Amino acid sequence: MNVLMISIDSLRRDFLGAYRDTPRIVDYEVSTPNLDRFAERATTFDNHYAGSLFCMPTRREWLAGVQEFPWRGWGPIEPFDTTVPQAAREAGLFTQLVTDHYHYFQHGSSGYYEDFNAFEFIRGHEFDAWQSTPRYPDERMLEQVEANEADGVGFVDRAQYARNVADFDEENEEEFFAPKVFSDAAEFVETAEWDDWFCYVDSFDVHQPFHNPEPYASMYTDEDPRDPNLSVWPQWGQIDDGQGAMTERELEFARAQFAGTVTMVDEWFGRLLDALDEQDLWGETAVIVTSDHGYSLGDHGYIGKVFMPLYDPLAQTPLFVHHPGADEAPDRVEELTAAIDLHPTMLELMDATEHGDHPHGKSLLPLLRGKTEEHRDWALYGEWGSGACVTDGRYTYMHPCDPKEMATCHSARMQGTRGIFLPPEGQQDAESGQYLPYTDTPVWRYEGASVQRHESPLLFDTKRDPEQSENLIEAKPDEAKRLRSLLGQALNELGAPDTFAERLGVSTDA
Amino acid sequence: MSNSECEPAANGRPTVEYCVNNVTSPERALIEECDGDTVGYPCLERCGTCQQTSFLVVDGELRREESHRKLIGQSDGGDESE
Repeated sequence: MNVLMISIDSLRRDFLGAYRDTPRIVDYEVSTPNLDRFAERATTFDNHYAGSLFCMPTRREWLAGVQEFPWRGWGPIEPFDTTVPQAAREAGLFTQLVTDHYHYFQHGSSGYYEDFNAFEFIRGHEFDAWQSTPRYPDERMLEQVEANEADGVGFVDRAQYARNVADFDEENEEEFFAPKVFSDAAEFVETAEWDDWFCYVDSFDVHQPFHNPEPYASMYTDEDPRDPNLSVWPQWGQIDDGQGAMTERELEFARAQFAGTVTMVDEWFGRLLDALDEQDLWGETAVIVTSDHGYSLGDHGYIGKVFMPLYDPLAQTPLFVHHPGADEAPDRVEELTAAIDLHPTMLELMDATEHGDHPHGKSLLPLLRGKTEEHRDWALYGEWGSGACVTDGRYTYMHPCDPKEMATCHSARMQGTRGIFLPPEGQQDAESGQYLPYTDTPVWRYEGASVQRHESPLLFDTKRDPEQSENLIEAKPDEAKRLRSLLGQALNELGAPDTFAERLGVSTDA
Repeated sequence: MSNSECEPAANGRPTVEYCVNNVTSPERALIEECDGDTVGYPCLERCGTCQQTSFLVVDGELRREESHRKLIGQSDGGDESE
């Protein structure tokens, strides 16, 4: 069987017709006819959560099956990991990666693309160190991406994006990123000569910046989308204060450009569906469509993803799976599922479990076959060096950390625990040992600074309060105690390091 | 996007945002004690600046100096004057 795994970065599920008529934060419908038609064919998962956030940690969950955030942050595939493409190759499948996700090629990252038989990398998104000219990009674009310096060349410099797209024709969508990614993926599907294959399509869109060609740039706004005073790349933070401060006009424009990117991705995702139609591959190809996380667009007063509590617009992600071998696959699954479950799911679909299974996830195939209605009691999610969150599928509990307590990083590589895009640092105080419960390989252990996303615990009943507007910590002490125990249970079952639970002040006693 | 277009902070105190990669533990403690609403980020996406010098974002504006003490209005010797 072929497996086609598609990630659409930062895709908020409430922007998809399969989940809501209109997104929570705008009063207009966002056009996603192709994702909707795929949802009609696939099983839609209604209660799916991210795990290790953001971006690359999710990809290690998917590809290596490791729920890494209790141990480590943004970083490489470890020497003791077995990736999905590695296992797939050993099972006899051809493996192909198509992506514009330049994080695979940055400092702090390695091992994610090397196991594929072939990979296509579309250059130039966000901070990708691609184009060297023009030294001074177009002033209007520099304004719209909020570049600090016109000829900026530092690590993670917004002028680089303006340089990368300097030759793009904003009237020609084919020059933009998602169109290229999905066109290349469609070409692979149309021309593959291998009996069985695993193709991983990783679209950086709808990740920031929300710079769109027409017609998408004007699709959801009456503003001039090329107005230099309107940002396509808001700074992260609080929308009423600090660097994230925005006027209502600016916020509505950012939302409209995010929506435009969603529709652009949908249009070109549709071309890939067309290729599957034309090649008559649906009977022999499992197709997974998901995202790593969402993106706050004013929800709870925040813009971006790095500072705020991990509310559901960030943590509850879309998931659709088409499984050709499941004749009784349900239209929708309400059971709680997690990003980490995709790893064993992909391996089982490829008959490659023996080559790379990992204990952290649980295959979704029994749910897809309609053979069970039970899957998992908890989903754990968070970002390394911060707090931890758990859900039982109804309540979400977010446990804060004390920012004065240092976090502990475990890795075979020494690198900066913060400043991940900068050249790596030696960790002079590192210890080494067999610290990981899932490998005998010794690793380094060293400390890094903690970051507090919220000061106090947060508890929400997402069934009655899907907006997560009322913190029930005081009103529902029994539920708060139960969810706190569930967090300890999850850490215990995962074998998370004692240093992690101790830093949070959570008991893992069974 | 200028912060001047937005309402000032209700309490009149400056909002001081910093990247935890740009501070040592003592500098972080110093910033947390300053007269403002302080927020520590895992990353402020200003890595080029972060690599080169000490910086803070004060009420949305990037400020750079050779030390965080200077950035929050104190000299390295503890004198309140610049």
